[in-house]
Amino acid sequence: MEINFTLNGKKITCEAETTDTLLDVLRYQGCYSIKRSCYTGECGNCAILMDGKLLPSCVLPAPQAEGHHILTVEGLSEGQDLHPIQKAFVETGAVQCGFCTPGMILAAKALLDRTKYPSLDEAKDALGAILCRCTGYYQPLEAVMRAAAYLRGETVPPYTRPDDAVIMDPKDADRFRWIGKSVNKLDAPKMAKGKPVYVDDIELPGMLHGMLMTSPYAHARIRDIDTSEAEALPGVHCVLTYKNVKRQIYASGGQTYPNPKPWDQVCLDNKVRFVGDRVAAVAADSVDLCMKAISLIKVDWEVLPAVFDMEETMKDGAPVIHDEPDAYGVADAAHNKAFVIDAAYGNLQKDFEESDLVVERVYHTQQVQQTPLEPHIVITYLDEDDRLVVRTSTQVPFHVRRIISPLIDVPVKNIRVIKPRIGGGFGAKQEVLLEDLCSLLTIRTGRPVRFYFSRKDEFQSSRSRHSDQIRFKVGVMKSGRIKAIEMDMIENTGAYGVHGFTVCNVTGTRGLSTYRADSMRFHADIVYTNLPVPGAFRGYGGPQGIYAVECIMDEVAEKLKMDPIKFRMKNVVRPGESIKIMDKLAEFDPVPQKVNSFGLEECIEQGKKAIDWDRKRHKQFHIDPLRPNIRKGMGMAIMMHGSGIAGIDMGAAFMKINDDGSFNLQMGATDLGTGSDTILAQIAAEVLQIPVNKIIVYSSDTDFTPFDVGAYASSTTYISGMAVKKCAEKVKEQVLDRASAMLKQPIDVLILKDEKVFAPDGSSVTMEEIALNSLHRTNQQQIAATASHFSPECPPVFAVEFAEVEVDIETGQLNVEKLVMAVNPGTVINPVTAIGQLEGGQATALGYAVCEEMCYDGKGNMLNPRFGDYHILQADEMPEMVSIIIPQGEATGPFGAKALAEIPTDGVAPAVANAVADATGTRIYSLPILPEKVWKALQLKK
Amino acid sequence: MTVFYRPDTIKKTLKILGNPDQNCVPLYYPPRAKHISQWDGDALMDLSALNFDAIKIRKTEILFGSLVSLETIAKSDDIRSLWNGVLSEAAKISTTNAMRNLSTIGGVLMNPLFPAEVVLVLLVLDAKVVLLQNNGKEIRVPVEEFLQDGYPVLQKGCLIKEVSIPLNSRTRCVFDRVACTKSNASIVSLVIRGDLTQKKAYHLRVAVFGANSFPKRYHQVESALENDLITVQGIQQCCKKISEETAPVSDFRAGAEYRTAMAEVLIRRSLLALRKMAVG
Ligand code: FES
Ligand code: FES
Repeated sequence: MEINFTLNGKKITCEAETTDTLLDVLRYQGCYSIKRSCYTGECGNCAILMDGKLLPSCVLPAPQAEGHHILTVEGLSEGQDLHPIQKAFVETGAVQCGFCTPGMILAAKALLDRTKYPSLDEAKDALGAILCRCTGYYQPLEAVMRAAAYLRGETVPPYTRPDDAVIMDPKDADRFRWIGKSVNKLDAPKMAKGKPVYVDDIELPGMLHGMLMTSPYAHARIRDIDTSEAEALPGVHCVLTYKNVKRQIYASGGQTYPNPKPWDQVCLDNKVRFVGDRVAAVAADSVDLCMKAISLIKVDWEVLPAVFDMEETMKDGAPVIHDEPDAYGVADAAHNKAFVIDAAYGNLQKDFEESDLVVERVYHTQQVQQTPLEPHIVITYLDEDDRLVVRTSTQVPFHVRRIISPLIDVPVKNIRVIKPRIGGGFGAKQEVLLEDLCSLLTIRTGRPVRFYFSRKDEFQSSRSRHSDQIRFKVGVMKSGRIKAIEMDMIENTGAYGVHGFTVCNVTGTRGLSTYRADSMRFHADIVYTNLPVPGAFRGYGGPQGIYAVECIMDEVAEKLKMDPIKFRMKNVVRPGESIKIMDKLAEFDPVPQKVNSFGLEECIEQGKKAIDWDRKRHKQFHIDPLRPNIRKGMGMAIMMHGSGIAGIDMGAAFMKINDDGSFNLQMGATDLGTGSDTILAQIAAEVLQIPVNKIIVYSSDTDFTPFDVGAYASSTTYISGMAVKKCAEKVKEQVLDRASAMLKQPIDVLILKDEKVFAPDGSSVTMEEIALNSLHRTNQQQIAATASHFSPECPPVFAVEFAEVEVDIETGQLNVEKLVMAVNPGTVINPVTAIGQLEGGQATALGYAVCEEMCYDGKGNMLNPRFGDYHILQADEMPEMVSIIIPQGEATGPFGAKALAEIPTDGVAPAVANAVADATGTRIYSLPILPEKVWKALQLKK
Repeated sequence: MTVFYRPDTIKKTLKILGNPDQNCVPLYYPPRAKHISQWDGDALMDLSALNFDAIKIRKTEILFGSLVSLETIAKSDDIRSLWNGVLSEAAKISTTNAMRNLSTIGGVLMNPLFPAEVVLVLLVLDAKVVLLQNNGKEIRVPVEEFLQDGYPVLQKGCLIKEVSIPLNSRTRCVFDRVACTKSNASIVSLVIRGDLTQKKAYHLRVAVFGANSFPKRYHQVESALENDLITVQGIQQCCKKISEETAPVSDFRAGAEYRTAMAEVLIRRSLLALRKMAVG
């Protein structure tokens, strides 16, 4: 039917079906700012303003637009201009991956159209409609307040909050020109304007839609599969099953070559191992046709017994999940063990015997999902040379290219992987999930194919955080000195072992590396079950290990009647000390590690001040006479997290000068929204003493950018940053060399400053003159360099997390009132983006602590695979959050930087758990800390 | 589903709805959004031209047009000033503001199982659904009757025009709930109403969500308040009846035991809060 409406001030007439969503119709009209994310009205990323009201366009039938006025962010500003709200979002660092940003901006507009004087609560309510997994909402809230001031016509001072949050040694304040400065994120304006920067934002002629048929059973064999009816459907172009796809064993994790074992996957198998597992893939003219085709595929199932419990699965007689003969590197298939880790030093038994106190506890952590707001999406096509182009939302473009090559039988040289902007990854996109099938569909049909995960697919067929059972045993002396620690865990790796070993290794490392002890032992069974597959998730095993160790250390301190901070500081590893257990826990060959920069004491001091820790000593803090059912408490945790993976991670950079003295910086590193492109540009700008906007960053395209392992393991600043620094230094040498010839002065007297090279006599040449001279005039040469970096170290970052909570002792309801995190990430390159990382990470970690969990029925079906049921935290329920950065340089990092991205996910859960114990006198040994668990624990105590 | 109607008169609307050969679904958006494929029917109908989006305040009742949005209810100063603000609070807690802009009181009635907070308020306030029958006549059906075991009973060809809530200046309400986080869906929620005079609470109404398979009035609890006297003993009598009313179902949000316990905690607390309002 024909519909008529006004879109961004222009009258539109278009055709739409009753079943078309307004979201899809508006995207066909070129409004790519409206994002496809959940299609259930729950994330707000597809929001529009219809007659001034914020509405989710994904649940509106398109004909509902008839006669209405619709505004999207494309209609807010023109050309390079930014609307005051967009400007405020850019300045406050509210744009990380940017996927939610257009929705946030429209939510802000709806509010600010009503009032120019919004309260913080009103702003929270307005942004409460838009889910964001990156920011933790504080920077967007500040953007709303700042935009209100702009719209009131006020003169708005530069954005300062992060400067207050960075406690810098005054002598360091002016050391650098670009390092340590809150430069606006380079890509923020285009995302605030809703430009088509993501994978899905292109339309290619003849593009087909790809879709996955997934398993309805947790464990079943496919006796036969009949695709004839589906294939006969007009508009269906290809159906892939195990019958027509090469059987090639692999591991889907985007990890360094050779991928860690086990290799237990094939593209399409005749066995399924979890609800949501791959059965078939279809390419058709439309999404509806794909669904129709899938409904016509007939599968002859042999349903097998399934196992979901991580202890049951190891028992004799449990269903064997990987009975295929070609699985490689499975530790004990008969007992569903994908991998077993053992590491120890010292005489554990003797040390426990000699301990004055031994405490042993078992902790459980749950499976949670990364929930990037942009689900996995891939578009593949053949270029004019018939090379395969894979445009994908990935954290690991180079690993994607290497991993899919043997699966699709195309040599690496004939595959080009392009990573445009990514709408969040958080580890879920450190994986090859759709690229192989999408590529095969393109190869078979010769046509471009768009293949994406629905939100439900994203929950059950994507990746998640491993659930663990962790037994900790700690032996201590009366003095508070730790003698022995034992950590024994089972990690549930779901149906496939990908990332299982490495994540578990990190859980062990994080559980055992913060404290010294005379002896330690780590044992882990990484077990298969018939559940959806975990993988990489920001923190990568750290949150599980740190939750368990920080809870038990708190309890040990309590039993010793020692102050929990003093107890921890008595035992924490110190600068110069080696972390012994890391000698035994390594992906490949062990790389001994020791602590260089520390800063934990300062972090604790500042954190204590910010949360007013000493209140905890007073009884009246815990009890409020006006609310007799409420108890208050405070808890804390210390954290240590590495910077990259020692001896493995490698990053590279390439730079060249342009005629105007600007530089192209080409990186394999992948900016997930963290702002890494900007900070890498800051590093280059600092070396070359040119403005950051003279660095044009491009990342990543396997044809044009140098290799990088990708964005994971908190490695981008530390590893790729150093590659950029080295590269820029090489370029600088060439610049000075050229200037020396131009100025006729020896190199060693020249100074590079403010886009010029100065000689001692006051003469100078500009960067532009140097560029023109080198490219066009004398001894022509492209000033360019490439450099790569890997590190034998992964210097630990130290931090502390404090939490203040209220618990209703009649209902068990927990309210987290305040979080304070203080961290020493080494030199901070960009305070605004750094604070964004801290707040966003803590918000994710808070969800992990108090509400998020993937829940299943007895048959392995996920019960809550939609945002409304799974519930990630919204803007209107965030606690007060204070983030403090205490930068202390790390000798091995670029300009002293270490890492920052993952450590904020580590400490919230134990700090909250310890605060609940402080409030109620009851400890909860599993996550998330749900009201029901607290209530039950309190009932038991009674 | 290929047809989309946008009738501009009630007559045309009823004619389309009464067509025996077609199942046309009026677009009453619920707070828990439906994917477009989840609207069962072979035609959709946009009712926005019928002016069902007004709130009419009369001497003895308030009439909410069936298309009054939950956001309007949440934000209206008039509504916030009534019934201790519980209707506005219930609307606000139901969903995000974008979905509140879209979802309507009609949508709540047609999808009452979850979230159910607005339904609880309608139940305790003795609200009536004003239905337009296919012959154009209006009838009023108490919400509790309209929702049978939690499911709406709307005969083919009929339309929800309005919801009527009687006004009584003595009516006081309490809303309470348990949830994992502030904006998370309720595990158990409840609304209590009483028309207060000194130590009495007339027309005591208790409605609970989360301790039964659908939002439910607890009649036995209500009638246990002897002589309407809202004393501590009276409240204890009410609480003794709670276990006779609850029949919770465990789900991923919480188990049955916890739900039962929470129904008790919330009812007791809310009755005490109501008593406080009565006796000061
Ligand atoms: S895509 Fe529309 S609300 Fe999520
Ligand atoms: S910036 Fe909000 S989802 Fe990434």
